[in-house]
Amino acid sequence: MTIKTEPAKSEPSHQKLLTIDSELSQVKIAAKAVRKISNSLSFKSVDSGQIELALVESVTNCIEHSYGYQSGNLIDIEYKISDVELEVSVIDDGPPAPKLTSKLASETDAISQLNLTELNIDSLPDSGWGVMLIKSLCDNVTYSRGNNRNILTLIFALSPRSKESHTQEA
Amino acid sequence: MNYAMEISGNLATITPSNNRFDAYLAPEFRDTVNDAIEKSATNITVDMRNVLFIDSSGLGSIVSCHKLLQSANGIQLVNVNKDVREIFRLTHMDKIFDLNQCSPDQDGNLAA
Repeated sequence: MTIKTEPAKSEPSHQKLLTIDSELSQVKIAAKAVRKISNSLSFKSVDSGQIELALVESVTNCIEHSYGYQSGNLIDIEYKISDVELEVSVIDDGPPAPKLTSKLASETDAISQLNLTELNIDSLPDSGWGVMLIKSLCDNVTYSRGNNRNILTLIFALSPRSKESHTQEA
Repeated sequence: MNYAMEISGNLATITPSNNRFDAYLAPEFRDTVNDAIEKSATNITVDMRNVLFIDSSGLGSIVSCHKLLQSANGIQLVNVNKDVREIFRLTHMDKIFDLNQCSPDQDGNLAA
């Protein structure tokens, strides 16, 4: 999950992508915006669909856990593209999320530990797949607090090919 | 109405009309399956031909309905898009569901 990064010559800054309301019907708007960004790049090991899914899981997690499905709250989506990675941050005004911290810090990849057969389908969870998916889809994930806000950052490594692609499009 | 339902005897086919099967639409899917069960359906097929994106809530709703129908035939998925299959593979759900089936014939038999 950890990426080795080389020092960038000039550190790019985060850019605001959009702000959505904390409603499940709004998630697809954020998904579409992130897909547009990721479609402009090529990735070595992940595709735009995986980035979109990680973002959707993160925003849905916000709406559920930070805001308890209450609309009327804001969720900011920011991104940063460097020579080596794409960062997408999902920022909300909810209370601190210690559960999320421990889930992200856990060394256990619950998905890979599942032993799925028809015989044990009863043990399958109906929910709680979101963070597991986020961890599987991203090269790295960080959670922090800043200005009393939750900041979940999804990091996707870029391949050398994508660097060229980005330079050409910039 | 984001899900179309056809019932014939104990066979029900549910077709999501939206191309996203996510947290916003998953509760309505559960309601539709419950409606089919109340109408005596025990063999439920979900035709995924329109679905291009699924998230963990969509997956979770399919799993919970599959559990609900486990004593009967569970949920059968047909016409699953390549990208959606990839999410099933990532979560190992491809070991639970046969993702290579096409639409059922008039007798409800599923063709690979």
